[in-house]
Amino acid sequence: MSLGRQPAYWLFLALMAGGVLIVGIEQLAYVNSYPGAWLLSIVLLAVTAIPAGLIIYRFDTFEPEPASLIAVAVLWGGVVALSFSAITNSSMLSFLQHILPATTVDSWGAAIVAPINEELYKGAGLVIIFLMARSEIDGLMDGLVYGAMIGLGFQVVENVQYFMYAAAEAGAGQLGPVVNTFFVRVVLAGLYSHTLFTGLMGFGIAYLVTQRAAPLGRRVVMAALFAVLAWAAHFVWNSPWLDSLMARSTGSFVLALVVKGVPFLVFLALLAVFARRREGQAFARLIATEVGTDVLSEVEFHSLQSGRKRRAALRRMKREKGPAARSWLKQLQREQMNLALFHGRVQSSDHPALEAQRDTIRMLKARLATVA
Amino acid sequence: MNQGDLPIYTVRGAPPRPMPTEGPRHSLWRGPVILVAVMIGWMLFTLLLAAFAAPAGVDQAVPIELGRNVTVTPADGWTSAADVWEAGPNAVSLKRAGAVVVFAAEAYDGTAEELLAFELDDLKGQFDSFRALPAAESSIAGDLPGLTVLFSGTADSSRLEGELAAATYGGTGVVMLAVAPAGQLPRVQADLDTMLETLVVPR
Repeated sequence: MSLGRQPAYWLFLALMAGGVLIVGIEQLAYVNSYPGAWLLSIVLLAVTAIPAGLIIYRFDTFEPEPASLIAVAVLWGGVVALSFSAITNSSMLSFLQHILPATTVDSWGAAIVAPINEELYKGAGLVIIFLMARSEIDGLMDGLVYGAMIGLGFQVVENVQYFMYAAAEAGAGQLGPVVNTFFVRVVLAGLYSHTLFTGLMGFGIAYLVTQRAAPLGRRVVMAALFAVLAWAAHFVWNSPWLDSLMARSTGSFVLALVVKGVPFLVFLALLAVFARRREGQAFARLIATEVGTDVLSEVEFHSLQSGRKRRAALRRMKREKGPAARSWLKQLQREQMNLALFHGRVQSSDHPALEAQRDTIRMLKARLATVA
Repeated sequence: MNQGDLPIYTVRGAPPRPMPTEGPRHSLWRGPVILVAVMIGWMLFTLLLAAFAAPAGVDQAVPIELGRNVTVTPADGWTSAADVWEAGPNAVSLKRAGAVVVFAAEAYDGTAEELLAFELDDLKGQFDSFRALPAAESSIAGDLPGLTVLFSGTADSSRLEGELAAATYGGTGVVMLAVAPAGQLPRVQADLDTMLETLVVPR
């Protein structure tokens, strides 16, 4: 069944249409008011967000996610989640301002309101991706990648807003405040923001939908725990804790950011290592019958299991045989990993799809031997 | 990678695989309908919260007590500026759109003229260059006579402008000091006037 026949896909398009209207009008206002500052914001964010997105995309080395779904994740974060969050954040802040003193709302408002609304709407993006193509979320790493991508989209568009606020407060849309805000929000604090929060939530949702050997109750509890963890990371980050330390000096400011953000970042990194290890184990299990044959030698198998070893092999090939040989080897590695994926789908080891894949690998090996 | 019980068959660059077609058609709609209901339901809930807290659009911002039972009610959009201006006891600092305003109320036995002159002297010391217009009579907290001075100057290479207002009543001195980047004060002037007007000074 094509995506076009998925109700979730049409829901995504409908919400995107509304969101584009809201975000688009806002961006147009920025362009009209502060064209130089807006353009600088886009350039600064592009040069940081694109590499960040590629790094996240490559976390899942064994089974990279379809580019179209990655685009859905980024757009959901930057357009749909941001639009809904803007409305609900504003409403909740307005509510708090009428029941709490202004000073309390100013200090704690962002910590109370933003995690509740923003994590809810970013998390909804994970659900819509699951509803659109549920078989694409078949491992813990997948949830982490989609979650981080949703967070990245949200973070980029939100940063444009902050940069524009800084430009507006400077009085004439100057560029200096944009660069200063970029330094604080992206260079110093970029690692601890929405990419981290939603990555945590994605891990929990992936656990819920993929670890079906575990009892349902445990899976639900785990998903809830990770949602709470994402909320907590966001709450701590937005809270006024350590504000007095931040005000002392630049060093203290950086130290406060590290104290607030690094524990959650380290935890997410450990989760990524764990998820990648699980991917490696799944790969080894699926490809086991091919190891030692003409399509996958023992050495190649060990090399494929580690991204570092794969890259080392590519570097060595380039150094010894040139860039063309490196390119063939890279394609060979990809097809050998795809062979494992094919094994996960078919029941018999002599399935025509497997045979075709083996032939592709043999052809690439022959071509590589010719270059050598 | 295939850590659940669903088989996979994905290659790099392949289009995303939609969910299986098994099951009745309505089950495909159930998930999206629940999701959109939660998303829109939560949004409506927060809008209702805000509406219930501010019936008929009346601004019910919580007044802040300064000292000696004097209170100021922040105008819409003004938030605490404690992070950029520590106002100290018996005072509160608020900010909006680059402007910062401090309201203070303390025991004071002199006249409004003396209080204004004292505050102006203190203010001049914080500027590299400073110019002030002559004081003009005004009223705060409804009908309490006061004095207002508009000023401009340079501090730390920044061009600033502002407004200083002072009034006294029954042994209490009330001061408002607003500072904004050059050209920005008019944008918040209406809010400053409103906050001065709605200031509550016990009489």
